Amino acid sequence: MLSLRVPAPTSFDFRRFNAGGLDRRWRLSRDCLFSLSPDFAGRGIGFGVRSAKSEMAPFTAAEEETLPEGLQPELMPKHVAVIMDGNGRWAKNRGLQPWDGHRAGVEALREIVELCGKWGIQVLTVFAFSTDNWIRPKIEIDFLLSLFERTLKSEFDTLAKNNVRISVIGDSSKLPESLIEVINEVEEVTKNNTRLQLIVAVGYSGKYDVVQACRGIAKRVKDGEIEVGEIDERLIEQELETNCTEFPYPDLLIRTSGELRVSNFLLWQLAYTELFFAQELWPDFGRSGFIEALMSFQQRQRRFGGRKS
Amino acid sequence: MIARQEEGEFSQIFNALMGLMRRFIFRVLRVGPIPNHISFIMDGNRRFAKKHNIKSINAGHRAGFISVTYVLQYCKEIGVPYVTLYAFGFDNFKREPEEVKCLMDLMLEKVELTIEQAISGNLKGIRVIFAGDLNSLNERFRAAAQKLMEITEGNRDLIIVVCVAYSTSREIVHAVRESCVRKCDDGDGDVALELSDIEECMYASTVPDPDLVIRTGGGDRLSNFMIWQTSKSLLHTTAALWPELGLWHLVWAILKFQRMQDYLQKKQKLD
Repeated sequence: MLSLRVPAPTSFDFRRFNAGGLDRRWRLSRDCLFSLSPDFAGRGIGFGVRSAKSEMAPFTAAEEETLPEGLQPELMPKHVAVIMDGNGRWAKNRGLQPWDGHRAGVEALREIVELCGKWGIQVLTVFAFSTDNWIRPKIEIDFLLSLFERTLKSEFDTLAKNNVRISVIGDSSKLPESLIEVINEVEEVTKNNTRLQLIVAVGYSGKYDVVQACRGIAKRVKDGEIEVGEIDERLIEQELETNCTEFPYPDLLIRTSGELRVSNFLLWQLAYTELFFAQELWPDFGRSGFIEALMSFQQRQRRFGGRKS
Repeated sequence: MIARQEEGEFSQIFNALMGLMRRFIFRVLRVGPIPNHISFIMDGNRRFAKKHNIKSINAGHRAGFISVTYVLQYCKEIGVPYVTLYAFGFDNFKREPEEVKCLMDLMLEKVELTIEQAISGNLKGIRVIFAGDLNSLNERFRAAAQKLMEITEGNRDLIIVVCVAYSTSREIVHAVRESCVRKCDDGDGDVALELSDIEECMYASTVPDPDLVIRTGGGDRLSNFMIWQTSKSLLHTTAALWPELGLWHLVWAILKFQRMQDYLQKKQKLD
Protein backbone atom coordinates (compact mmCIF):
# COMPACT_ATOMS: atom_id res chain seq x y z
CA MET A 1 0.00 0.00 0.00
CA LEU A 2 1.45 3.29 -0.99
CA SER A 3 1.01 5.13 2.26
CA LEU A 4 3.25 7.67 3.80
CA ARG A 5 3.93 7.92 7.46
CA VAL A 6 2.38 11.28 8.15
CA PRO A 7 3.48 13.54 10.93
CA ALA A 8 0.85 15.15 13.14
CA PRO A 9 -1.65 16.63 12.51
CA THR A 10 -3.05 13.48 10.92
CA SER A 11 -6.63 14.60 10.53
CA PHE A 12 -7.64 17.23 8.10
CA ASP A 13 -10.95 17.94 6.54
CA PHE A 14 -10.27 19.08 3.03
CA ARG A 15 -13.65 20.64 2.63
CA ARG A 16 -13.35 22.75 5.69
CA PHE A 17 -10.37 24.77 4.83
CA ASN A 18 -11.10 28.22 3.60
CA ALA A 19 -9.25 30.34 1.12
CA GLY A 20 -6.46 31.33 3.42
CA GLY A 21 -2.93 31.92 2.29
CA LEU A 22 -1.79 29.65 -0.50
CA ASP A 23 1.30 28.73 1.50
CA ARG A 24 -0.68 27.64 4.50
CA ARG A 25 -2.95 25.61 2.30
CA TRP A 26 -0.07 23.90 0.61
CA ARG A 27 1.74 23.09 3.83
CA LEU A 28 -1.31 21.76 5.64
CA SER A 29 -2.71 19.65 2.87
CA ARG A 30 0.65 18.34 1.78
CA ASP A 31 1.16 16.73 5.14
CA CYS A 32 -2.09 14.88 4.89
CA LEU A 33 -2.26 14.32 1.16
CA PHE A 34 -1.04 10.81 1.05
CA SER A 35 -2.76 9.02 3.84
CA LEU A 36 -5.58 6.86 2.67
CA SER A 37 -8.61 6.19 4.80
CA PRO A 38 -10.60 2.99 4.33
CA ASP A 39 -13.78 4.89 3.52
CA PHE A 40 -12.21 6.70 0.61
CA ALA A 41 -14.03 4.76 -2.06
CA GLY A 42 -12.72 6.91 -4.83
CA ARG A 43 -16.11 8.41 -5.52
CA GLY A 44 -17.38 11.78 -4.44
CA ILE A 45 -15.49 13.83 -1.95
CA GLY A 46 -13.23 11.37 -0.28
CA PHE A 47 -11.09 13.70 1.73
CA GLY A 48 -12.84 13.22 4.98
CA VAL A 49 -11.34 13.12 8.41
CA ARG A 50 -8.46 10.71 8.73
CA SER A 51 -6.61 9.27 11.61
CA ALA A 52 -3.33 7.44 12.03
CA LYS A 53 -5.27 4.19 12.49
CA SER A 54 -6.58 4.37 8.95
CA GLU A 55 -3.21 4.06 7.28
CA MET A 56 -2.63 0.80 5.49
CA ALA A 57 0.56 -1.15 5.69
CA PRO A 58 2.77 -1.44 2.61
CA PHE A 59 1.71 -4.36 0.48
CA THR A 60 3.92 -7.34 -0.11
CA ALA A 61 3.69 -10.21 -2.53
CA ALA A 62 2.17 -12.42 0.13
CA GLU A 63 -0.76 -10.06 0.62
CA GLU A 64 -1.63 -9.84 -3.08
CA GLU A 65 -5.29 -9.20 -3.35
CA THR A 66 -7.40 -11.66 -5.26
CA LEU A 67 -9.11 -10.18 -8.27
CA PRO A 68 -12.65 -8.91 -7.74
CA GLU A 69 -15.44 -11.18 -8.84
CA GLY A 70 -15.99 -11.10 -12.58
CA LEU A 71 -12.40 -10.41 -13.57
CA GLN A 72 -10.37 -13.27 -14.95
CA PRO A 73 -6.64 -13.29 -14.25
CA GLU A 74 -5.67 -14.70 -17.66
CA LEU A 75 -7.47 -11.84 -19.46
CA MET A 76 -5.88 -9.00 -17.50
CA PRO A 77 -4.20 -6.42 -19.73
CA LYS A 78 -0.42 -6.25 -19.51
CA HIS A 79 -0.24 -2.54 -20.19
CA VAL A 80 -2.86 0.02 -19.24
CA ALA A 81 -2.68 3.66 -20.29
CA VAL A 82 -4.67 6.39 -18.60
CA ILE A 83 -5.56 9.95 -19.58
CA MET A 84 -6.25 11.62 -16.25
CA ASP A 85 -8.77 14.17 -17.45
CA GLY A 86 -11.18 16.22 -15.36
CA ASN A 87 -9.23 17.60 -12.41
CA GLY A 88 -10.08 21.17 -13.32
CA ARG A 89 -13.78 20.46 -13.72
CA TRP A 90 -13.85 18.44 -10.52
CA ALA A 91 -12.46 21.40 -8.61
CA LYS A 92 -14.79 23.86 -10.35
CA ASN A 93 -17.85 21.73 -9.51
CA ARG A 94 -16.90 21.97 -5.86
CA GLY A 95 -16.00 25.63 -5.89
CA LEU A 96 -12.34 24.87 -5.37
CA GLN A 97 -9.24 26.08 -7.19
CA PRO A 98 -7.74 24.10 -10.09
CA TRP A 99 -4.72 23.07 -8.02
CA ASP A 100 -7.03 21.38 -5.53
CA GLY A 101 -8.34 19.31 -8.39
CA HIS A 102 -4.82 18.29 -9.38
CA ARG A 103 -4.03 17.26 -5.83
CA ALA A 104 -7.19 15.17 -5.76
CA GLY A 105 -6.01 13.70 -9.03
CA VAL A 106 -2.73 12.59 -7.50
CA GLU A 107 -4.67 10.82 -4.79
CA ALA A 108 -6.75 8.97 -7.39
CA LEU A 109 -3.57 8.01 -9.20
CA ARG A 110 -2.11 6.47 -6.08
CA GLU A 111 -5.12 4.23 -5.78
CA ILE A 112 -4.86 3.06 -9.37
CA VAL A 113 -1.12 2.42 -9.08
CA GLU A 114 -1.77 0.36 -6.00
CA LEU A 115 -4.46 -1.68 -7.76
CA CYS A 116 -2.25 -2.29 -10.78
CA GLY A 117 0.50 -3.55 -8.53
CA LYS A 118 -1.88 -5.91 -6.76
CA TRP A 119 -3.67 -7.22 -9.83
CA GLY A 120 -0.69 -8.11 -11.93
CA ILE A 121 -0.78 -5.34 -14.50
CA GLN A 122 2.79 -4.89 -15.59
CA VAL A 123 2.90 -1.43 -17.10
CA LEU A 124 0.83 1.64 -16.31
CA THR A 125 1.30 4.73 -18.44
CA VAL A 126 -0.26 7.97 -17.28
CA PHE A 127 -0.66 11.16 -19.22
CA ALA A 128 0.35 13.82 -16.75
CA PHE A 129 1.23 16.76 -18.95
CA SER A 130 1.00 17.18 -22.69
CA THR A 131 3.05 19.32 -25.06
CA ASP A 132 -0.26 21.04 -25.82
CA ASN A 133 -0.68 22.01 -22.15
CA TRP A 134 2.19 24.51 -22.21
CA ILE A 135 -0.39 27.11 -23.26
CA ARG A 136 -2.11 26.95 -19.88
CA PRO A 137 -1.66 29.81 -17.37
CA LYS A 138 1.86 29.92 -15.98
CA ILE A 139 0.67 29.66 -12.39
CA GLU A 140 -1.09 26.38 -13.15
CA ILE A 141 1.91 24.97 -15.02
CA ASP A 142 4.26 25.93 -12.20
CA PHE A 143 1.96 24.32 -9.70
CA LEU A 144 1.61 21.14 -11.74
CA LEU A 145 5.34 20.72 -12.20
CA SER A 146 6.12 21.44 -8.58
CA LEU A 147 3.35 19.05 -7.51
CA PHE A 148 4.94 16.41 -9.68
CA GLU A 149 8.35 17.07 -8.16
CA ARG A 150 7.02 16.96 -4.61
CA THR A 151 5.06 13.79 -5.30
CA LEU A 152 8.09 12.05 -6.77
CA LYS A 153 10.22 12.99 -3.81
CA SER A 154 7.67 12.00 -1.21
CA GLU A 155 6.54 8.76 -2.86
CA PHE A 156 9.96 7.65 -3.93
CA ASP A 157 10.71 5.46 -0.92
CA THR A 158 7.32 3.78 -0.93
CA LEU A 159 7.48 3.01 -4.61
CA ALA A 160 10.99 1.68 -4.36
CA LYS A 161 9.99 -0.53 -1.45
CA ASN A 162 7.05 -1.88 -3.45
CA ASN A 163 9.23 -2.84 -6.36
CA VAL A 164 7.77 -0.24 -8.70
CA ARG A 165 9.90 1.09 -11.51
CA ILE A 166 9.36 4.66 -12.60
CA SER A 167 10.10 5.98 -16.06
CA VAL A 168 9.36 9.44 -17.32
CA ILE A 169 8.86 10.12 -21.00
CA GLY A 170 8.47 13.41 -22.79
CA ASP A 171 10.29 16.50 -23.86
CA SER A 172 12.37 17.48 -20.88
CA SER A 173 13.84 20.59 -22.46
CA LYS A 174 11.22 22.89 -20.96
CA LEU A 175 11.15 21.33 -17.51
CA PRO A 176 12.85 23.04 -14.55
CA GLU A 177 16.33 21.78 -13.64
CA SER A 178 15.35 20.62 -10.18
CA LEU A 179 12.59 18.42 -11.61
CA ILE A 180 14.92 16.88 -14.18
CA GLU A 181 17.39 16.02 -11.40
CA VAL A 182 14.73 14.34 -9.31
CA ILE A 183 13.46 12.42 -12.34
CA ASN A 184 16.93 11.15 -13.21
CA GLU A 185 17.56 10.09 -9.65
CA VAL A 186 14.23 8.27 -9.30
CA GLU A 187 14.65 6.52 -12.65
CA GLU A 188 18.15 5.41 -11.75
CA VAL A 189 17.29 4.03 -8.36
CA THR A 190 14.14 2.19 -9.44
CA LYS A 191 15.40 0.88 -12.75
CA ASN A 192 15.75 -2.71 -11.59
CA ASN A 193 12.33 -3.00 -10.04
CA THR A 194 10.06 -5.54 -11.64
CA ARG A 195 6.62 -5.60 -10.12
CA LEU A 196 5.05 -2.67 -11.95
CA GLN A 197 6.46 -0.11 -14.33
CA LEU A 198 4.89 3.29 -13.96
CA ILE A 199 5.51 5.45 -17.00
CA VAL A 200 4.66 9.10 -16.50
CA ALA A 201 4.27 11.18 -19.62
CA VAL A 202 5.32 14.77 -18.92
CA GLY A 203 5.74 17.22 -21.78
CA TYR A 204 4.81 14.35 -24.06
CA SER A 205 2.64 13.87 -27.08
CA GLY A 206 2.32 11.09 -29.61
CA LYS A 207 3.35 13.29 -32.51
CA TYR A 208 6.35 14.65 -30.62
CA ASP A 209 7.46 11.08 -29.93
CA VAL A 210 7.28 10.12 -33.61
CA VAL A 211 9.11 13.31 -34.65
CA GLN A 212 11.93 12.74 -32.18
CA ALA A 213 12.20 9.11 -33.28
CA CYS A 214 12.33 10.30 -36.85
CA ARG A 215 15.10 12.77 -35.99
CA GLY A 216 17.10 10.01 -34.34
CA ILE A 217 16.66 7.80 -37.38
CA ALA A 218 17.53 10.61 -39.79
CA LYS A 219 20.71 11.25 -37.87
CA ARG A 220 21.64 7.57 -38.07
CA VAL A 221 20.96 7.56 -41.80
CA LYS A 222 23.09 10.65 -42.25
CA ASP A 223 25.91 9.08 -40.26
CA GLY A 224 25.74 6.10 -42.56
CA GLU A 225 24.76 3.73 -39.78
CA ILE A 226 21.60 2.55 -41.56
CA GLU A 227 20.16 2.77 -45.04
CA VAL A 228 16.86 4.49 -45.79
CA GLY A 229 15.52 1.17 -47.08
CA GLU A 230 16.16 -0.40 -43.67
CA ILE A 231 13.74 1.90 -41.90
CA ASP A 232 10.84 -0.24 -40.81
CA GLU A 233 8.29 -0.53 -38.01
CA ARG A 234 10.68 -2.24 -35.64
CA LEU A 235 13.28 0.47 -36.00
CA ILE A 236 10.78 3.20 -35.25
CA GLU A 237 9.52 1.23 -32.26
CA GLN A 238 13.07 1.12 -30.90
CA GLU A 239 13.52 4.87 -31.29
CA LEU A 240 10.26 5.88 -29.63
CA GLU A 241 10.44 6.96 -26.00
CA THR A 242 8.35 3.96 -24.97
CA ASN A 243 11.39 1.79 -25.67
CA CYS A 244 11.96 1.93 -21.92
CA THR A 245 9.51 -0.92 -21.49
CA GLU A 246 9.13 -4.46 -22.74
CA PHE A 247 5.42 -3.85 -23.51
CA PRO A 248 5.18 -0.51 -25.32
CA TYR A 249 1.72 -1.16 -26.76
CA PRO A 250 -1.12 -0.52 -24.30
CA ASP A 251 -3.84 -3.14 -24.26
CA LEU A 252 -6.31 -0.73 -22.73
CA LEU A 253 -6.56 3.06 -22.78
CA ILE A 254 -8.84 4.70 -20.23
CA ARG A 255 -9.91 8.29 -20.56
CA THR A 256 -12.00 9.91 -17.86
CA SER A 257 -14.35 12.89 -17.84
CA GLY A 258 -16.43 11.75 -20.78
CA GLU A 259 -14.22 13.22 -23.49
CA LEU A 260 -14.25 10.98 -26.56
CA ARG A 261 -10.85 11.64 -28.03
CA VAL A 262 -7.23 10.61 -27.72
CA SER A 263 -5.85 14.17 -27.69
CA ASN A 264 -2.41 13.32 -29.01
CA PHE A 265 -1.52 10.95 -26.19
CA LEU A 266 0.39 8.06 -27.68
CA LEU A 267 -0.04 7.50 -31.33
CA TRP A 268 2.05 4.74 -32.80
CA GLN A 269 1.45 2.62 -29.72
CA LEU A 270 -2.36 2.80 -29.92
CA ALA A 271 -2.72 0.74 -33.10
CA TYR A 272 -4.86 -1.98 -31.55
CA THR A 273 -5.48 -0.61 -28.10
CA GLU A 274 -8.96 -1.03 -26.73
CA LEU A 275 -10.39 2.34 -25.74
CA PHE A 276 -12.56 2.87 -22.71
CA PHE A 277 -14.20 6.21 -22.08
CA ALA A 278 -15.37 6.77 -18.52
CA GLN A 279 -17.91 9.44 -17.63
CA GLU A 280 -16.46 10.20 -14.20
CA LEU A 281 -13.95 12.92 -13.67
CA TRP A 282 -10.47 11.65 -12.80
CA PRO A 283 -10.51 12.32 -9.05
CA ASP A 284 -13.76 10.33 -8.85
CA PHE A 285 -12.44 7.45 -10.93
CA GLY A 286 -11.36 4.97 -8.33
CA ARG A 287 -11.47 1.27 -7.84
CA SER A 288 -15.01 0.82 -9.13
CA GLY A 289 -14.36 2.77 -12.31
CA PHE A 290 -11.20 0.78 -12.87
CA ILE A 291 -13.01 -2.51 -12.38
CA GLU A 292 -15.67 -1.42 -14.86
CA ALA A 293 -12.97 -0.59 -17.42
CA LEU A 294 -11.23 -3.92 -16.90
CA MET A 295 -14.50 -5.86 -17.20
CA SER A 296 -15.30 -4.07 -20.44
CA PHE A 297 -11.81 -4.90 -21.71
CA GLN A 298 -12.11 -8.58 -20.84
CA GLN A 299 -15.35 -8.90 -22.79
CA ARG A 300 -13.89 -7.56 -25.99
CA GLN A 301 -12.86 -9.63 -28.95
CA ARG A 302 -9.47 -8.52 -30.19
CA ARG A 303 -8.71 -9.46 -33.78
CA PHE A 304 -5.72 -7.23 -34.67
CA GLY A 305 -6.92 -7.00 -38.26
CA GLY A 306 -7.26 -10.72 -38.74
CA ARG A 307 -10.28 -12.92 -38.38
CA LYS A 308 -11.49 -14.60 -35.22
CA SER A 309 -11.98 -18.22 -36.20
CA MET B 1 -24.95 9.64 -57.41
CA ILE B 2 -24.64 6.18 -58.83
CA ALA B 3 -27.43 5.57 -61.34
CA ARG B 4 -30.21 3.40 -60.08
CA GLN B 5 -31.92 0.80 -62.14
CA GLU B 6 -35.29 1.53 -63.67
CA GLU B 7 -37.73 2.33 -60.97
CA GLY B 8 -41.48 2.12 -60.97
CA GLU B 9 -43.53 5.27 -60.55
CA PHE B 10 -44.40 4.51 -56.97
CA SER B 11 -40.71 4.08 -56.10
CA GLN B 12 -39.93 7.38 -57.73
CA ILE B 13 -42.57 9.21 -55.71
CA PHE B 14 -41.46 7.47 -52.55
CA ASN B 15 -37.82 8.36 -53.17
CA ALA B 16 -38.72 11.94 -53.90
CA LEU B 17 -40.64 12.15 -50.63
CA MET B 18 -37.76 10.63 -48.71
CA GLY B 19 -35.41 13.07 -50.36
CA LEU B 20 -37.61 15.94 -49.26
CA MET B 21 -37.72 14.67 -45.70
CA ARG B 22 -33.97 14.32 -45.66
CA ARG B 23 -33.53 17.84 -47.00
CA PHE B 24 -35.66 19.11 -44.15
CA ILE B 25 -33.69 17.19 -41.52
CA PHE B 26 -30.36 18.31 -42.95
CA ARG B 27 -31.54 21.91 -43.06
CA VAL B 28 -32.15 21.73 -39.35
CA LEU B 29 -28.77 20.06 -38.78
CA ARG B 30 -26.98 22.75 -40.72
CA VAL B 31 -28.00 25.38 -38.18
CA GLY B 32 -25.20 24.00 -36.04
CA PRO B 33 -21.62 23.22 -37.07
CA ILE B 34 -21.20 20.40 -39.56
CA PRO B 35 -18.01 18.36 -39.39
CA ASN B 36 -15.60 19.32 -42.13
CA HIS B 37 -14.31 15.78 -42.47
CA ILE B 38 -15.97 12.56 -41.34
CA SER B 39 -14.14 9.27 -41.43
CA PHE B 40 -15.82 5.88 -41.25
CA ILE B 41 -14.40 2.64 -39.93
CA MET B 42 -16.65 0.19 -41.72
CA ASP B 43 -16.64 -2.75 -39.36
CA GLY B 44 -19.19 -5.53 -39.10
CA ASN B 45 -19.80 -6.74 -42.66
CA ARG B 46 -18.99 -10.36 -41.92
CA ARG B 47 -21.09 -10.35 -38.77
CA PHE B 48 -23.98 -8.93 -40.79
CA ALA B 49 -23.78 -11.80 -43.27
CA LYS B 50 -23.59 -14.30 -40.44
CA LYS B 51 -26.54 -12.68 -38.69
CA HIS B 52 -28.67 -13.01 -41.80
CA ASN B 53 -27.35 -16.49 -42.59
CA ILE B 54 -25.92 -15.56 -45.97
CA LYS B 55 -23.26 -18.09 -46.79
CA SER B 56 -21.39 -16.46 -49.67
CA ILE B 57 -17.97 -15.25 -48.69
CA ASN B 58 -18.29 -11.60 -49.51
CA ALA B 59 -22.02 -11.13 -49.16
CA GLY B 60 -21.50 -8.98 -46.11
CA HIS B 61 -19.07 -6.79 -48.00
CA ARG B 62 -21.51 -6.36 -50.87
CA ALA B 63 -24.12 -5.23 -48.39
CA GLY B 64 -21.44 -2.95 -47.01
CA PHE B 65 -20.93 -1.35 -50.39
CA ILE B 66 -24.62 -0.55 -50.67
CA SER B 67 -24.33 1.13 -47.31
CA VAL B 68 -21.36 3.12 -48.64
CA THR B 69 -23.41 4.54 -51.48
CA TYR B 70 -26.16 5.68 -49.14
CA VAL B 71 -23.80 7.18 -46.60
CA LEU B 72 -21.91 9.08 -49.27
CA GLN B 73 -25.15 10.41 -50.65
CA TYR B 74 -26.24 11.60 -47.22
CA CYS B 75 -22.87 13.25 -46.63
CA LYS B 76 -23.13 15.03 -49.94
CA GLU B 77 -26.64 16.23 -49.12
CA ILE B 78 -25.61 17.44 -45.69
CA GLY B 79 -22.67 19.25 -47.19
CA VAL B 80 -19.74 17.47 -45.59
CA PRO B 81 -16.80 18.32 -47.88
CA TYR B 82 -14.46 15.41 -46.97
CA VAL B 83 -15.25 11.79 -46.22
CA THR B 84 -12.80 8.99 -45.56
CA LEU B 85 -13.64 5.32 -45.77
CA TYR B 86 -11.48 2.64 -44.21
CA ALA B 87 -12.00 -0.03 -46.82
CA PHE B 88 -9.10 -2.39 -46.28
CA GLY B 89 -6.38 -2.25 -43.69
CA PHE B 90 -2.88 -3.51 -44.34
CA ASP B 91 -3.25 -5.83 -41.38
CA ASN B 92 -6.30 -7.38 -43.07
CA PHE B 93 -3.89 -9.18 -45.39
CA LYS B 94 -3.54 -11.56 -42.46
CA ARG B 95 -6.96 -12.99 -43.22
CA GLU B 96 -7.61 -16.11 -45.30
CA PRO B 97 -6.15 -15.66 -48.82
CA GLU B 98 -9.50 -16.62 -50.30
CA GLU B 99 -11.29 -13.89 -48.40
CA VAL B 100 -8.64 -11.33 -49.27
CA LYS B 101 -8.91 -12.22 -52.93
CA CYS B 102 -12.69 -11.94 -52.86
CA LEU B 103 -12.45 -8.56 -51.19
CA MET B 104 -9.92 -7.32 -53.71
CA ASP B 105 -12.06 -8.54 -56.58
CA LEU B 106 -15.12 -6.87 -55.13
CA MET B 107 -13.29 -3.58 -54.65
CA LEU B 108 -11.90 -3.76 -58.17
CA GLU B 109 -15.40 -4.38 -59.53
CA LYS B 110 -16.73 -1.36 -57.67
CA VAL B 111 -13.84 0.87 -58.70
CA GLU B 112 -14.37 -0.06 -62.33
CA LEU B 113 -18.09 0.60 -61.95
CA THR B 114 -17.31 4.00 -60.45
CA ILE B 115 -14.96 4.78 -63.35
CA GLU B 116 -17.83 4.08 -65.75
CA GLN B 117 -20.11 6.34 -63.75
CA ALA B 118 -17.50 9.06 -63.72
CA ILE B 119 -17.02 8.84 -67.47
CA SER B 120 -20.75 9.00 -68.13
CA GLY B 121 -21.02 12.07 -65.93
CA ASN B 122 -23.08 10.62 -63.07
CA LEU B 123 -20.53 11.39 -60.38
CA LYS B 124 -21.20 15.08 -60.22
CA GLY B 125 -18.48 16.90 -58.37
CA ILE B 126 -17.09 13.86 -56.57
CA ARG B 127 -13.38 13.33 -56.28
CA VAL B 128 -11.92 10.01 -55.18
CA ILE B 129 -8.46 9.68 -53.65
CA PHE B 130 -6.87 6.38 -52.71
CA ALA B 131 -4.65 6.37 -49.63
CA GLY B 132 -2.49 3.50 -48.53
CA ASP B 133 0.35 1.31 -49.63
CA LEU B 134 -0.89 1.02 -53.21
CA ASN B 135 2.23 -0.86 -54.24
CA SER B 136 1.06 -3.88 -52.31
CA LEU B 137 -2.08 -4.16 -54.45
CA ASN B 138 -2.28 -6.16 -57.63
CA GLU B 139 -1.44 -4.48 -60.92
CA ARG B 140 -4.97 -4.24 -62.21
CA PHE B 141 -6.39 -2.70 -59.08
CA ARG B 142 -3.58 -0.20 -58.88
CA ALA B 143 -4.13 0.84 -62.48
CA ALA B 144 -7.89 1.20 -61.94
CA ALA B 145 -7.32 3.25 -58.78
CA GLN B 146 -4.89 5.54 -60.60
CA LYS B 147 -7.37 5.99 -63.43
CA LEU B 148 -10.23 6.85 -61.08
CA MET B 149 -8.05 9.38 -59.26
CA GLU B 150 -7.08 11.00 -62.53
CA ILE B 151 -10.61 11.15 -63.94
CA THR B 152 -12.11 12.72 -60.85
CA GLU B 153 -9.21 15.02 -60.04
CA GLY B 154 -10.93 18.23 -61.00
CA ASN B 155 -14.02 17.75 -58.84
CA ARG B 156 -14.48 19.65 -55.62
CA ASP B 157 -17.95 19.08 -54.16
CA LEU B 158 -17.24 15.97 -52.17
CA ILE B 159 -13.79 14.49 -51.72
CA ILE B 160 -13.75 10.84 -50.78
CA VAL B 161 -10.56 9.29 -49.46
CA VAL B 162 -10.64 5.53 -49.75
CA CYS B 163 -8.08 3.82 -47.55
CA VAL B 164 -6.89 0.58 -49.11
CA ALA B 165 -3.91 -1.42 -47.80
CA TYR B 166 -3.64 1.32 -45.23
CA SER B 167 -2.28 1.35 -41.73
CA THR B 168 -0.92 4.17 -39.62
CA SER B 169 2.27 2.23 -38.87
CA ARG B 170 3.06 1.85 -42.56
CA GLU B 171 2.08 5.43 -43.22
CA ILE B 172 4.51 6.68 -40.58
CA VAL B 173 7.29 4.40 -41.81
CA HIS B 174 6.69 5.74 -45.31
CA ALA B 175 6.66 9.34 -44.05
CA VAL B 176 9.87 8.82 -42.04
CA ARG B 177 11.62 7.31 -45.04
CA GLU B 178 10.50 10.11 -47.34
CA SER B 179 11.47 12.88 -44.96
CA CYS B 180 14.84 11.23 -44.28
CA VAL B 181 15.49 11.08 -47.98
CA ARG B 182 14.57 14.75 -48.39
CA LYS B 183 16.36 16.06 -45.33
CA CYS B 184 19.53 14.03 -45.53
CA ASP B 185 20.29 15.51 -48.89
CA ASP B 186 20.33 18.99 -47.37
CA GLY B 187 24.03 19.46 -46.82
CA ASP B 188 26.27 18.39 -43.96
CA GLY B 189 24.69 20.17 -41.04
CA ASP B 190 22.48 18.58 -38.40
CA VAL B 191 19.24 17.19 -39.72
CA ALA B 192 16.50 19.68 -38.83
CA LEU B 193 13.34 17.62 -38.98
CA GLU B 194 10.06 19.22 -37.95
CA LEU B 195 6.51 18.00 -37.55
CA SER B 196 5.51 19.61 -40.83
CA ASP B 197 8.15 17.63 -42.72
CA ILE B 198 6.60 14.38 -41.64
CA GLU B 199 3.03 15.57 -42.18
CA GLU B 200 3.83 16.52 -45.75
CA CYS B 201 4.79 12.93 -46.47
CA MET B 202 1.60 11.37 -45.15
CA TYR B 203 -0.58 9.60 -47.69
CA ALA B 204 -3.48 12.01 -48.00
CA SER B 205 -1.66 15.11 -46.85
CA THR B 206 -3.79 17.49 -48.89
CA VAL B 207 -6.90 16.53 -46.95
CA PRO B 208 -7.58 18.16 -43.55
CA ASP B 209 -7.76 16.04 -40.39
CA PRO B 210 -11.06 14.35 -39.58
CA ASP B 211 -13.37 16.05 -37.08
CA LEU B 212 -15.47 12.99 -36.47
CA VAL B 213 -14.65 9.30 -36.63
CA ILE B 214 -17.61 6.95 -36.80
CA ARG B 215 -16.89 3.33 -36.09
CA THR B 216 -19.56 0.71 -36.60
CA GLY B 217 -19.61 -2.78 -35.19
CA GLY B 218 -19.31 -1.76 -31.57
CA GLY B 219 -15.54 -2.02 -31.21
CA ASP B 220 -13.92 0.84 -29.35
CA ARG B 221 -10.50 0.97 -30.96
CA LEU B 222 -8.72 2.68 -33.80
CA SER B 223 -7.39 -0.45 -35.55
CA ASN B 224 -4.32 1.32 -36.87
CA PHE B 225 -6.47 3.74 -38.83
CA MET B 226 -5.43 7.38 -39.13
CA ILE B 227 -4.20 7.58 -35.57
CA TRP B 228 -1.99 10.52 -36.52
CA GLN B 229 -4.81 12.49 -38.11
CA THR B 230 -7.50 11.70 -35.56
CA SER B 231 -5.70 12.70 -32.40
CA LYS B 232 -8.12 15.58 -31.84
CA SER B 233 -11.18 14.02 -33.48
CA LEU B 234 -14.34 12.99 -31.75
CA LEU B 235 -14.52 9.19 -31.68
CA HIS B 236 -18.03 7.88 -32.02
CA THR B 237 -18.78 4.17 -31.85
CA THR B 238 -22.08 2.62 -32.69
CA ALA B 239 -23.11 -0.96 -32.10
CA ALA B 240 -24.87 -1.06 -35.46
CA LEU B 241 -22.99 -3.10 -38.06
CA TRP B 242 -21.79 -1.23 -41.13
CA PRO B 243 -24.48 -2.51 -43.53
CA GLU B 244 -27.05 -1.46 -40.90
CA LEU B 245 -25.78 2.09 -40.66
CA GLY B 246 -28.55 4.41 -41.70
CA LEU B 247 -29.62 8.01 -41.83
CA TRP B 248 -30.47 8.21 -38.14
CA HIS B 249 -27.10 6.90 -37.02
CA LEU B 250 -25.41 9.58 -39.07
CA VAL B 251 -27.72 12.29 -37.77
CA TRP B 252 -27.10 11.15 -34.20
CA ALA B 253 -23.33 11.21 -34.70
CA ILE B 254 -23.45 14.73 -36.11
CA LEU B 255 -25.70 15.90 -33.26
CA LYS B 256 -23.18 14.48 -30.80
CA PHE B 257 -20.43 16.31 -32.64
CA GLN B 258 -22.42 19.54 -32.40
CA ARG B 259 -23.03 19.04 -28.70
CA MET B 260 -19.34 18.62 -27.98
CA GLN B 261 -18.23 21.54 -30.12
CA ASP B 262 -18.63 24.21 -27.46
CA TYR B 263 -16.54 22.35 -24.96
CA LEU B 264 -13.94 21.49 -27.60
CA GLN B 265 -13.57 25.13 -28.64
CA LYS B 266 -13.03 26.13 -25.02
CA LYS B 267 -10.52 23.36 -24.49
CA GLN B 268 -8.66 24.19 -27.68
CA LYS B 269 -8.26 27.77 -26.51
CA LEU B 270 -6.89 26.48 -23.21
CA ASP B 271 -4.68 23.85 -24.74
